[in-house]
Amino acid sequence: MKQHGNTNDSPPAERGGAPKVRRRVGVIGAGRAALLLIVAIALQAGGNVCLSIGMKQLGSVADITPAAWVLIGRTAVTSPMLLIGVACLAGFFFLFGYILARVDLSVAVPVISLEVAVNVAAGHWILGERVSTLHWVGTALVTVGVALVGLSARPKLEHHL
Amino acid sequence: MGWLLIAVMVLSDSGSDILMARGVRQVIDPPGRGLARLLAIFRAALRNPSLFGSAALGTIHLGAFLALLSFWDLSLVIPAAALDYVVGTLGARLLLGESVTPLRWAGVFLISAGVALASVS
Repeated sequence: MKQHGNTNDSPPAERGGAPKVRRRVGVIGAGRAALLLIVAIALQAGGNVCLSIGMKQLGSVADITPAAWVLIGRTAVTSPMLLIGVACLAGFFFLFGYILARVDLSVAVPVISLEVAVNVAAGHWILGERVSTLHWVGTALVTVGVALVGLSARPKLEHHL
Repeated sequence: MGWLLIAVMVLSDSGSDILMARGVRQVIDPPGRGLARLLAIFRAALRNPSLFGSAALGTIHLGAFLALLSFWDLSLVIPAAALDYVVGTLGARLLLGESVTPLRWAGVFLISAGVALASVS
């Protein structure tokens, strides 16, 4: 069975030198875990930004008929922005699965819940959306809430991993 | 229309998760070993109504998400989509009778308050 869990044990001492302590947050090092989590959040937010741009290029589908939805669906599969967005989200899906298998959930879940705030920030700074102070406060509450719900599922998830 | 699509998104996502959990438990343990076992899982998955329903609801979820993005800001859609944690928790408590920890209730409260603040602003 693979070693899994929080380990702060140091690697074997190097010959003739002091033992080098490397922080671990699962079965991989903290630096690698941080890099993977940053890439995952970037893929998720980038994918959503591409989908948002692609759908706004197609036009609003709020008040149209089902037949028009079919037409939009056909157009959507040829839109480069939508295809890139879907590819990014698929990449996020597989990368997050990889991360969950290797990084402690107590680290992965709160960090990945930051995607809510990162998406709002991307909407504001990349897409030029207006985000009020109240909206930022709401986003912060949602981010913390998602982290708490994720952490509350920790024992069940760890049982299955 | 926007909040209707949020409701469709949230309900289809929760339904898809429930059916996925049920379907995977039904197909994950066929007899055999190695490649034969993998093929047996794949064949069982294709014939499993729960997994079929999960895929259908997942498609509806994606469609509603894309439709919302065509006329709502991403900065509102993403926090509002977190309501699926609220619906999932209420569904687990009220429909399945599962116990819900205080930590999870606190998370549900914060998400609800956060979505309310983000949407009124």
